[in-house]
Amino acid sequence: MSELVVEGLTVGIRGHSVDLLRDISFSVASGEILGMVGESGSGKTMAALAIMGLLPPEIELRAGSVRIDNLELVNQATMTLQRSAHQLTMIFQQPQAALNPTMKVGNQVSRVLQMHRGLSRAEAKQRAVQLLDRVGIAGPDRVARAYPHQLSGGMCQRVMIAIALACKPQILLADEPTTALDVTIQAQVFDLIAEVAREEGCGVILITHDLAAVSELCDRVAVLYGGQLMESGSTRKVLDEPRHPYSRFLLDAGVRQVDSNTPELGVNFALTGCRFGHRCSRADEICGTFPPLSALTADRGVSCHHPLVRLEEFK
Amino acid sequence: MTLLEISEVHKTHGRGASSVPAVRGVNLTVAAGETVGLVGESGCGKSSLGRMIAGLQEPTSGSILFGGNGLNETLHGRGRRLIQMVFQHPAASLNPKLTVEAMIAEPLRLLMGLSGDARDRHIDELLTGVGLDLSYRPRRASQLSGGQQQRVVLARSLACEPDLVVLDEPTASLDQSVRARVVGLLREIQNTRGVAYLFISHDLATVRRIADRVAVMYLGRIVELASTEQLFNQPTHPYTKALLSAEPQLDPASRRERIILTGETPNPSQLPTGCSFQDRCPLVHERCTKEAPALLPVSGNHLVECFAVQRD
Repeated sequence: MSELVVEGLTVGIRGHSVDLLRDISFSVASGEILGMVGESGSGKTMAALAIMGLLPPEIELRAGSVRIDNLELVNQATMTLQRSAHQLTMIFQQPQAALNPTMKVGNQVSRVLQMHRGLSRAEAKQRAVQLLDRVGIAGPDRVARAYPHQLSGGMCQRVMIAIALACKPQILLADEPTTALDVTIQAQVFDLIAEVAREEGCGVILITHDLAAVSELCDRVAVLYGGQLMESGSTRKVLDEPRHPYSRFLLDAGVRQVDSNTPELGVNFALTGCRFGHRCSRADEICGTFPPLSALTADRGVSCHHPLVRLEEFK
Repeated sequence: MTLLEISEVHKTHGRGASSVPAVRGVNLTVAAGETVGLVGESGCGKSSLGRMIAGLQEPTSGSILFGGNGLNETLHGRGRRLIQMVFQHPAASLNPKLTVEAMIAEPLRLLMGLSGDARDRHIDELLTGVGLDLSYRPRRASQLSGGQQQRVVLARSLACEPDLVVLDEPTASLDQSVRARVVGLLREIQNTRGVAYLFISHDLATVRRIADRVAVMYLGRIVELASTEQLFNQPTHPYTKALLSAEPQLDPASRRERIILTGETPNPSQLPTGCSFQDRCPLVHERCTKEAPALLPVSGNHLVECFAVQRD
């Protein structure tokens, strides 16, 4: 059982004191799918990039630990990430943009096999076709010779998943993998991701803003807002009995008529207290201090000074 | 009262061998004050249809009547104000150099002939109407969030008091909580002004919350047309069923049995004879490969284009 454990991840802009991600902790076991949800700017993608060691140069990792099977990936002296390709891979929102437009997709898969797994050219070519077949591409021989522009968005995302699987990763990060796809194709890609988690035994972090998708696909969920981890726990518990006012707010936005005049407030990253404080109906003076993620049960954490005890109590 | 009447509209993009039939014989009506949802996947022709209704593209054949008159006569000169369009990316439809007030003032001046104080008052009313306070007047698009930009776009399109607004994926680029507020706003505007909407979207959940009737498009044809309630409670066309079943549901109890369609939408320039859904259809039989079905009622106002369903 391999497991990814992230603890106290804190990220900020160089030269600024404000944190973009603040003290984020979560874990993913092998074969498990963790949904990471939040609105634009909540820090979901930033968290993924930090774990991958792909932060842009002006963003720095300030604190935190990323471990796979108790092996520390963060060099605590330089605060940089050391990892090898078979541990973590990532797929992105726009599959067409993530593939090289001038290279046949089969070669893009086999290149990875040659570089990271040391396969010979012929072996890699053969294995690439097998991988394309594995991700449900009909006629993998023919598709391997196609360029990305000749394939649909759904096919390109399958190719991306094939590339990700080429290294036999322990953890797969999927950043909004279906946002650019139609709903029937989205269903196919979700099924593939679930199958990959189950059969290849890799842990999956699914980054999305779609709570319904999380409800169908994920075992556990982490809710982010303004770079703060608001709540985490098993999907059914969090969605059915949210403890954080923000989780409740997000759920309501999807199902209820929301008053169109609710002020639309951006995240205020300068807040030293709870980042949701200025939008929260339960906020008081104590919310001016940062609420640490406190464990409700072994599997359930909430970062709030005034968590919702029962559903009825909110509103 | 019928506001918009579309009959046998075709639209083919391009010429010769590379031509793509985007819309292939669509019939649809929109009544005054009604919201019709138009759903379908990428490339099904829903945006082409919307653009033809807004007068941005000419149909290849067929007729579009607005209030009983042809579209070209209707939209001539100041008649342009009667049909407005809202696009998916608000940032791209706003002029980055103009202030909010200047953008809203433009249609008021050009299409409504307003100036001076009267125009000023109108700008205030419109901004308040979309839930923006007057401090937004001197701002530019870059100083607004996506939801605020979409509100400005709405205020601008409502400035000339249209009878119909074509909304092409108006909430696709917005966050869930912002999306909910924009949908709420659209309903409020409709209640106070009685404007009709053609709401184009691939997001079934949003369509369900706003539309009175829903048309499902597949490869340039409407394959099912019904009231929102009928369509979501009793989807009848196999494509509609698959589309609804593919949509993730928050509540496990409301989940439908998943129908996974095999393959992808065929290339519209090489359509098979007969029903265009035959390659992916679980109910396909011999007749579907020979002749194309027509959109016929299965009960009352519930129209479906499928032999398998029409037989009984």
